[in-house]
Amino acid sequence: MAHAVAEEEPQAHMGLPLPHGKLAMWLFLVTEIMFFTGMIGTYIILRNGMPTSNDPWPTPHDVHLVEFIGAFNTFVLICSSLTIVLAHLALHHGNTKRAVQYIGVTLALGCVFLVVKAYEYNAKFAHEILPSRVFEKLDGPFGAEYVRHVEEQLNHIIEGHGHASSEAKAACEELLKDLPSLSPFQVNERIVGTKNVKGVDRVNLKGTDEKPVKGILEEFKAEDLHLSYSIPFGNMWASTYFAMTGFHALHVFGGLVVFVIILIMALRGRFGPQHTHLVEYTGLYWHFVDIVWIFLFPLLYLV
Amino acid sequence: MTNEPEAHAEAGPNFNTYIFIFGVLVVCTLLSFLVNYVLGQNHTSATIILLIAVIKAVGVAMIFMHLKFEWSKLYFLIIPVMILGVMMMVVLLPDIVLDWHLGGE
Repeated sequence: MAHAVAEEEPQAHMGLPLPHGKLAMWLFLVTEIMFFTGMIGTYIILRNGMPTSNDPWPTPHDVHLVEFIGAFNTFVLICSSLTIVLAHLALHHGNTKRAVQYIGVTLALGCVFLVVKAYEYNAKFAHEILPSRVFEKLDGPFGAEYVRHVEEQLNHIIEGHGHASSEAKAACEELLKDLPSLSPFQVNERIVGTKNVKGVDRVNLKGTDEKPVKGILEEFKAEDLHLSYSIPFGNMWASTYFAMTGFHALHVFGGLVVFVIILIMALRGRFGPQHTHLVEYTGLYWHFVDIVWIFLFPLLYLV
Repeated sequence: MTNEPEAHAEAGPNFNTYIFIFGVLVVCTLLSFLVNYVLGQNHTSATIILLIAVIKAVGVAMIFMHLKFEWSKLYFLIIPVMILGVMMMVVLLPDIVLDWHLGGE
């Protein structure tokens, strides 16, 4: 009797009206949302919670970020989002050739994004804006280390490795000569100029007859001289910047690998409307990567 | 769950809708760049720029990712993760910011 009752009960089944692949992709994206929220959230809290007006967070200019480059990369990713969604639409309508063309364009746009990112990273490496390599808190033991490092850089420029003009070299020689008598704060001031020194690194001019000085980097702006200067929170900035943009770039690279696989399938004649869902799920991932950049761009370059 | 695709023949957006959203995204990007250029870095510009970013993200999610048409099937995944994301930031707040300020006194 009990057996009969059990048979009459409705059978339990999973009722989500979604294909398995799409549900799996969304579950993956949900974990990705948490992953990036953790990093972006930490950045927002560090950015807004710790600095003060005297000890400020680095501006894009301080850390050699160019707003226009960030905006360009945003445009590139938006274009790629459009092309991948059009590839899905084309395949949905049975137009395989057009879909493959759109995927090829998406691949090219993703490559452009990574090339621009590599160019940007190169500037960070050239100016040593890297985690634990940025000088800050010059009143501590890092002050003496900073002066030693600047001495090396000045010698490097004077020896002609940095393609500096003769005027810039002369200014570097003058600073090198004065170096033993200067404090780390004064060295920093001579490099960036009095008006660009952050409050926490300011040399107190009150009660002295010293006048504001124009920095070497200020005077020879066009020459892109490699001279270190104090960037309060610079190491924290570099850590968060490389963590967020690095993981984002890895995600872009992951998407590109899938696009290459699809294109190889197409070249072998094994790609067609039966792969509409593959393109749709890859597109979901790609749009998510785009959304992450939509937030990274203003947070890093504009706000 | 349904067996793979057929039960899911989409009534999604068409070519024109995609192009329209693309245009909105480009205009929004230009707008955030201009706001930064005109207003500089302050709380007002930050609020406007981040609001524009939210609009862009919603546009991509709703139309490009088809959430507008599949919200009823996916809201149970999206809403909890949004709540958890905000909660994670709130949890980090005392650990990072308050500790810093109290330690600095």
